[in-house]
Amino acid sequence: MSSITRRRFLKTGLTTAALLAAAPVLDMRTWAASQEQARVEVVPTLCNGCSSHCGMLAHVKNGRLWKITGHPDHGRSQGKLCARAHGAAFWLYDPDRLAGPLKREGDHFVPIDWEQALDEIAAKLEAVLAAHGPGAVFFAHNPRATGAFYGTRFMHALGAPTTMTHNASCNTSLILAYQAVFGTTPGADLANSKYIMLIGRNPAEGIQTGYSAALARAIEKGAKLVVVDPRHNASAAIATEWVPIRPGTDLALLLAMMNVMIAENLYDAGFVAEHTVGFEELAAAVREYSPAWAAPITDIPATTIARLARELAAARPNCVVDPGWKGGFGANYANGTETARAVGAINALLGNLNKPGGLTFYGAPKLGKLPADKAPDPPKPTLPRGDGAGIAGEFPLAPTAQGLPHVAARKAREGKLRAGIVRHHNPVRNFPDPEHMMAGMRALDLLVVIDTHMTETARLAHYVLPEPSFLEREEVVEAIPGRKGTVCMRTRVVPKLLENTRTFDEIIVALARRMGVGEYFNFTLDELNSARLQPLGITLEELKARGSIQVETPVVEGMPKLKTPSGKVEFVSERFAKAGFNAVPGWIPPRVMPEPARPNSFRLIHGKQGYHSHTSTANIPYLLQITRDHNAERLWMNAGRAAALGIKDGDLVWVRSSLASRQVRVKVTERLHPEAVYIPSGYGNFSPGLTRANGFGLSMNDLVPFQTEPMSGHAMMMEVVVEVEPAGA
Amino acid sequence: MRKASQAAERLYLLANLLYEPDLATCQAAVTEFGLAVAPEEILRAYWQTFVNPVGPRLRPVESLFKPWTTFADCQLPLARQKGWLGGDSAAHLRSLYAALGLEVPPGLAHTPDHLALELTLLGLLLEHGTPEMRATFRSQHLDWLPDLQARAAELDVPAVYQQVLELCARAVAPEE
Repeated sequence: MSSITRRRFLKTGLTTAALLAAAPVLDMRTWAASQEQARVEVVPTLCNGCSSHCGMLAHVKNGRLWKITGHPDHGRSQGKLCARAHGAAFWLYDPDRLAGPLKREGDHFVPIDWEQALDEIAAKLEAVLAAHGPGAVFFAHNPRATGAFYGTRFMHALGAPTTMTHNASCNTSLILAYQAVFGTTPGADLANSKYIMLIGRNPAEGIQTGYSAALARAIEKGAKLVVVDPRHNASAAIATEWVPIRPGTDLALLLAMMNVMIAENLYDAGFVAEHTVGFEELAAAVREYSPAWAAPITDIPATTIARLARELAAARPNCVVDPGWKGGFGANYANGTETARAVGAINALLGNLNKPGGLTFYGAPKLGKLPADKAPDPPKPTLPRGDGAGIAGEFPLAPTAQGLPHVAARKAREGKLRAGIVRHHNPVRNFPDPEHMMAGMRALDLLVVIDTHMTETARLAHYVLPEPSFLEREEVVEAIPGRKGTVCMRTRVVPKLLENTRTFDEIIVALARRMGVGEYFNFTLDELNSARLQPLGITLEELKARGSIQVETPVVEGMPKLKTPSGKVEFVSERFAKAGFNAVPGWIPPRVMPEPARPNSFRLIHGKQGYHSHTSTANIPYLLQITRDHNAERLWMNAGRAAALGIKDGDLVWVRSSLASRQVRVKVTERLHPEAVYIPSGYGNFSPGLTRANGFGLSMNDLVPFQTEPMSGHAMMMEVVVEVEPAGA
Repeated sequence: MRKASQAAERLYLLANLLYEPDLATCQAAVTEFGLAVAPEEILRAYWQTFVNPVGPRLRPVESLFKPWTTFADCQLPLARQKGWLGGDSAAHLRSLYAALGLEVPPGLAHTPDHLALELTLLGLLLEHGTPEMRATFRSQHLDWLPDLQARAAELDVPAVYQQVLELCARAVAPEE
């Protein structure tokens, strides 16, 4: 035996006597019996299975997660959790998690310690700031309270104007459009509605449990539910009527329905006269959009369009055209923003604002701020943004609170953006054209990714910094709007499993101190949260103990006070007109259309499944098994079109766009418009660090080119024509 | 006694090969076990097998190879599944180390049932414990090595580490 004394991993002064004393504990059966009787603690927190952050109760035994249930006092979850929440619990114990900071060296990563990582990142950020100025630095994230507070504050402290979110691949259209029409994004009171039209929205699969439950309550009470969607989605399964519209033409349907309502005097004239501006312009604009005009565009009979308009109007004001989310028009088509403006306008014609069953304009509990004398805010940057959002000549109307990560990738390729911090966000996988997105990330002098897993974006980073999972970290207090608002926070449910991880606020504060802007972070997370709660009369201790608390919010009965320039609903937008767009909504065709003469030409559309949150949950085997059990990653194709192409259910096909060719198996179905093929949006991960999701399924983003909608700049993720043919043909 | 001490030293050396080995460890292992590779090659193989953060890697952790818990009242969907950190074995060993006053290195704190720690504990039991203690520990915590070896073969890890795992399996075999 070598005489070299090896390291002893278990440092000890162990003796035989000590061992004998502890002998009973050595036997796992004795230990298990001692554990059995321990009390189960219930710790409130917030889910992270999607961006909704539903209230969750974590049941913990002996320091281990034992069960999760819904928090009854949270406005979104209302006591229920979805499958994704139960899947998200797996993240805590996931061996794929990042265990410590990593630094890129050539084409691989090496582990480094935190001090080295933070020192080097700070020095490299300083170098970029010195050479290119703060306009060349960005922060991108999935926007929730912690990232919004610490990330944006850090950027402001550096003078950097560019903070971005994922929304340009989600719902930027709505945000811009409803800002113009209403001054804010409304909700909908589904539960009390007599007539609900969902255009592309699918609460049965794009789940917020409270919203899905409200839809179910409405149906139980006898509401008529009309689902307008090229696909017979899960919400259509419980609908009164499915209207299989040609994809990309929702705007034509809305314009024609408004045409009917105005021509037949079915709209709420009193509401329009009192609370809107621009009605005459709207009436004049929609005069040409008759049901007969819309029928060949939408593939919906003119009689159906007129009937739907009359039915809606007959149910006013207790009816709603759902304001949507990503669904049909959030970030999908060249006419997405215009479609959302038309949704806003038709609801105003129905006079349903703040009426039971109509659009809602609830406020959120008003949170406090840190005292300005002790923790002054950094000045807001005055430099132009680096992603073109809000910039004249680029995307002047694009919402700057969301920004344009796909445009930022182009700016990085052009050398205009040089450094970025990305947190809890995976733009490389979740925006179209991964080669474009990767080229942008690779072009940066410095990319820092803060996440729990080695995502496709993290793989390209110079530094990867690991956060604890959502069940191991405390975060910034959140406020949720509602008839009763919710104030809530994520709490630490169990001790950190991975010791060498740090929370986002810890990382940002450490970087700020190194970069000479620590003065803007001279408070603890507890102090910040206490300040946020102060106006509500709730102590931090109380909120930590209860997790979610419902609070009374001022509810305006009747017409809400709108933050538009006129204070009224604006059918006509001076801002849009000034930017060179239609002042009132008008027809804009989709950017591309399948070629009728080509039997294998389709529009590729996509949507969410109720058990996945885009690609972020595909690595959870509990959820992925649902997909595998049902072969649910398949491409949907209309049965008639499939028969014409000789494609049978389960066949492997090639899907080709101008960008790429991919193989996938087909689900042949009657539940899809003939001109579309549909792919669920939760698959196609290609990071080997996601060991279970890697290589599974297909992402639409592989096939969609980098492109931008002119109004809001979103990614137009359904503006793609593909050709489908049997593999091997 | 001397034989037990030598066996313990071999366990400690194997444990060192399984967590952040240095060149001296690799050199000692080459000498002790007659490994037909250069010590530098063992370091490279270690990185490829256990560290590579962007690809599938071998995790020599007992929890991953056993159902997460056998407690009937746990209602997590992962309760009866294999493949998750922090299972019963980890919880038991964390309690045991605390009871014995054993200190775990920070890098292994989240995996108290890492094979490197289990080999070390077996070594300590060889030096200070009784045959009954070792038999109990082997049967309850060192019965998963065949599964680990199968996973190593599945991942096609470098031959030297497949050999090291075979040495581990032999080293934890019941005493004659």
